[in-house]
Amino acid sequence: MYSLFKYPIKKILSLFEEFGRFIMLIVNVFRSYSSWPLYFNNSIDQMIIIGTKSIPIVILTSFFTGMVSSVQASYQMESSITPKWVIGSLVGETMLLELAPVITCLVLAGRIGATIAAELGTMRVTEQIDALESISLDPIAYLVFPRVLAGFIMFPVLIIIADIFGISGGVFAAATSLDIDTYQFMKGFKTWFKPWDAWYGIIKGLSFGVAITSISCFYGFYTKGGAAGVGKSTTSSVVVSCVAIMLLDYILAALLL
Amino acid sequence: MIEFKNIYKSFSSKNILKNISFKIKEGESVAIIGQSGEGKSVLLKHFNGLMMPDSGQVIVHKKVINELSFSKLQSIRKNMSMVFQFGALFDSLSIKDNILISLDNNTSLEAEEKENRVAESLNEVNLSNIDHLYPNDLSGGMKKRVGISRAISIKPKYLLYDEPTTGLDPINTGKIIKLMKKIKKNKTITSVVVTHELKIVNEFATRVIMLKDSNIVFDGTPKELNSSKDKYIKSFILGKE
Repeated sequence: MYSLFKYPIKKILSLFEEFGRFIMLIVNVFRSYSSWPLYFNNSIDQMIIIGTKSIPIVILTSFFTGMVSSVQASYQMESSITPKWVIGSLVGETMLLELAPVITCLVLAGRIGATIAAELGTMRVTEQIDALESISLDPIAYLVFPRVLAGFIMFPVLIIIADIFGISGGVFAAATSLDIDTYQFMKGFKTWFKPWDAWYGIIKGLSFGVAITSISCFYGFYTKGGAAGVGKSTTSSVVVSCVAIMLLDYILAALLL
Repeated sequence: MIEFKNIYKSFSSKNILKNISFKIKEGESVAIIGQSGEGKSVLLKHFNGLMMPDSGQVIVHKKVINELSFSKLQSIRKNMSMVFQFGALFDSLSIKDNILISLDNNTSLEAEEKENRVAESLNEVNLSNIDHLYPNDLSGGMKKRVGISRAISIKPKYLLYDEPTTGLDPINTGKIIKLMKKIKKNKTITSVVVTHELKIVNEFATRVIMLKDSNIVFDGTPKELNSSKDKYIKSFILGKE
């Protein structure tokens, strides 16, 4: 009987242990606050990697998401009594509230999360993190803090870009394949638009950004083993980041809407 | 002086170090030898607090480093440099920045003095004019020499080498050993080297500590090691079972 439950119990305990170590890493990031000013330049480098270099993929993803949601909204609202401008309302609201932050962050969990975990994981297995410590540097302040700060600042910016291009995608699809002109689309968008919806999406981006960067740093920083260990950390960071996005998405919706 | 007092260390259920005690005096050159997996590198990482013992004390300059706060431990590390097995150079930084980052954190030198120190330490390992390159541009042997250059740039009191010749051809091994001897001769440094290389033991070390089954099985001079009648030590030296 004991052996039947041994594996799941062990797995649950190791999950708690992992969560505890993650919390300790976050506590240590805050503990290293006295070193933060030294690493603001590193944060700027990370903002370029996390933010600026992600703009093309964010534009591409959000534009197509907007196009698809416009076509699907039209398909579902196919009725003579529903005015065409409702498509604009639906696309605008779904983009601002859900699609722009969630789809963008899921894509970025793959791009940014994997990059961070692989980079820090490689540094761990090649003893570069030990080397940082041996030359009296605090590796958490030097490696983790700049990445989490960059995520905190840049993800909301990327969400704003995703909002703009998502809605533009919706307008484009409506105009080219649904026979709804820009005026009608924007009329619908404005009818249901509330500024809080845009703020809500930005708050989501901020939370997801911190979650993705901190989870990826955690898996990268505590990588064990060689190349296989780096691969495992990278996979775990992407999977756990995606789950965290979904979980936070629900929590934020329940709390803020 | 460095003192290890009753050090125990284990990973999961495997004992790596069991009741390890020894003292290292200033200026000594100690080689730690033993088969792969005997915990030599683990032991070395206890010297500068990269690993902490499960129990026991590591005492450096009368301070128990496994009881120090992070900031106090950092001040101890300012006098202690480590040369890693494969160099552990920071990939994203140039060779010059790899050395500068250590100088920035461990010395209060002016910018110009730091530049001079970088040139001087690279010159010491016979690698002048490569400061603009990146670690990926270098061979394994060169990376190790840059690692040594970074370590000696802060003029440490203690120098820790983790298998400095592993994976190198005989010519590069010879270069590294020559370099280690030169550093030892020119500076009053206490050196600890983890190695499998008997050439390092015989040409560089003044004392040898041998690990087996988580314990110290030999502590003496290289001469005593070579003349030992112990079956295990003999087979280790001759490379035969």
